[in-house]
Amino acid sequence: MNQYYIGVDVGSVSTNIVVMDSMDNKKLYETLYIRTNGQPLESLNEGFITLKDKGYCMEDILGVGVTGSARILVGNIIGADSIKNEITAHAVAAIDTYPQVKTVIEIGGQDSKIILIRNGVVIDFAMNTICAAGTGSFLDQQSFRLKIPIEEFGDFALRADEPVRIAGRCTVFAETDMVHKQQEGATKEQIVAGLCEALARNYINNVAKGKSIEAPILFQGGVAFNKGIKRAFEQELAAQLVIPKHFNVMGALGSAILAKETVRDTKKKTTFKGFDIMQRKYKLKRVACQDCPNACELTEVTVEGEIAAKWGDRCGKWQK
Amino acid sequence: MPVKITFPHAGEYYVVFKDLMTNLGFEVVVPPPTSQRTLDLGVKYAPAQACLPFKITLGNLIEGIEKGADVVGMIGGKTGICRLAYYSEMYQKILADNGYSVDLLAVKVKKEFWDNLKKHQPELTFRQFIKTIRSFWRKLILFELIREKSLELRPYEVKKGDCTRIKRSFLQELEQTTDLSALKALRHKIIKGFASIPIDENRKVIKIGLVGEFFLLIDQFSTMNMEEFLGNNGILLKYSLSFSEFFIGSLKQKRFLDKYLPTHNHKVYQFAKEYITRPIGGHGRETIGEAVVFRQKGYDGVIHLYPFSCMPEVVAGSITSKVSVDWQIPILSICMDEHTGQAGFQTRLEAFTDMIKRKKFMPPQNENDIVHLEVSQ
Repeated sequence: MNQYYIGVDVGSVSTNIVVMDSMDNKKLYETLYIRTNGQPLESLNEGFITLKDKGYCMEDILGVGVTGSARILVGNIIGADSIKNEITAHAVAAIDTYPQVKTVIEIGGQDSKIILIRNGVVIDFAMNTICAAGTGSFLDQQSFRLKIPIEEFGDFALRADEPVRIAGRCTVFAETDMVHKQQEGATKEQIVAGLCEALARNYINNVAKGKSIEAPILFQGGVAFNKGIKRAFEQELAAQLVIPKHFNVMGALGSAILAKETVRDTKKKTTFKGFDIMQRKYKLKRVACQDCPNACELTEVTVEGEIAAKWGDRCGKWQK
Repeated sequence: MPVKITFPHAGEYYVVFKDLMTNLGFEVVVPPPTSQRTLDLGVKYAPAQACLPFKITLGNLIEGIEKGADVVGMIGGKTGICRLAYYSEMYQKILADNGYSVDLLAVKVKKEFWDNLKKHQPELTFRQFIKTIRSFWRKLILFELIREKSLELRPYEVKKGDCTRIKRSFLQELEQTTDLSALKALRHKIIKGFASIPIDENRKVIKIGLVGEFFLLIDQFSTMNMEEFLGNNGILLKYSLSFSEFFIGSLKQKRFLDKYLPTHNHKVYQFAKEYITRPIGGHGRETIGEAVVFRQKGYDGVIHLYPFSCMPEVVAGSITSKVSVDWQIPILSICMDEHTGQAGFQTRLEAFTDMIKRKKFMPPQNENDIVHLEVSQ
């Protein structure tokens, strides 16, 4: 009889779910990668239905962990055992799959981060603060504009003979520059290759500024699928990048491992409310608290008429 | 008719300042607690490049004036360690430009404070003044005791919210106590009260030192209730700077002593010397030195907070990464302004403290435990 831990990563671009064996962190039964499309709850529901159809039942789930930008929302609704930030989740997954790792480059939908690891512990990290240039969303947008399917973006870049130089500091200027280069006669391939280089350069000069990037380097997050970016990074860093097998669901994997740790440490039964929770009638409401001039915007979740969770307040009086 | 005075909030310090002003003969108008409206007012009237503390305090003053104050009190005033020096001038000008005609009272450890006071309170005797200052000082110390205790115990409390509750009740009591001997008794009560909170000593708690710009260290609005957020996550916090030290630090004599005697600040400057050799304004030099002192005291990490556009702290912020490597202590530098989102801020705090916790409490990885890695092509 198999038992599982579930990890959920609800990000801006994709919602990822992994089902991990309770004994072996390396054994993943399911890895789902679903587009969020701005609707985290619907995409999660889709994932849960898929899992349920495949025959997973609630009794076999030992714990659930949630990460990603919608972690608090989702975690409160489904009754997650651990709700953790993306940096910790990604680091945990990276260390677990590749204990010797020293640097993790993670580029997701709307953020990019660098995590430095020595002897299996995180010693430093950084996240993009200024803008989202060079993240998945921007690539997505450009692939749409250039009419190249995002899956083939990397191949396009690899085919280019000579990349053009594109300003990668800011997405708006990058786009202006791309249009300009197109008008000068650069091919799509050259533009895409130039874009990849610009993004890699931007990452190294902004996010990874002042950090010592040492091999082995793990490259994870959805953008790791893009071979053009991988090559650009390798050229810029003069080092090989390793792409883990489950690169696009590393956050979810990390949160599954974190859920396992939490359940082990607290020795409590999981608080997971089951795959059906998303199908029950839940309602999401933004309410403004009028008790003080802060006028905090609260998020209120009601499941079948009953208030399940409320958060978003500065003073903490609504949080249970 | 008594003169009505208002002053900016600085965390919950109004409890102490209210008392000082009342004893000096003013009628105190405490501005409403700092809120989004306060910040909006500040952002609207302040120049864009002013720092977050300026915007918040300006908003406080306007809200105080709306409640009927005709004098505003503010620390600093023509002298100060950073742009604070011209804040009072700027307040006066901005307020006057926008139709709020008020006088300004600079609260500082200088004779100027006394001269200024006499203008508003001609009957005030020097004896009374000294007496007031004495009880103010005692209150200030008690206030800081309450705050420190709550920060020390919050990560250990068994019932979430105990520390906050007891802190509130003591602050209220402190606000109402004026008698010197009663204040003495209150001190014992505070110590006893906090000792009675049920705690779980086996909890895995990490110690974090806070350095950086003074206002952000005490104001909980601009740091989005960081104190409680971190405390509830099992982090013991310690501030490098309190108001009492801020006042003492502005004395010339103190600076003279620090130069030659082995005081705390002497040590701080010695450590900072390797990176910053001379005062650069604000608490830039202290930030660097205190970070090292926290390391020496066995703290697990340091959080450095500074407002956007604060020159001394920006300088210090760019040095922290070097200090972090040299002294082997994790330092998180966070820049705050009115656009800082709560989610991003708390994600960074959580990631930073998780990193330290895992480093401290996780069993070290076995070096031989190397797994074959599948590389996707």
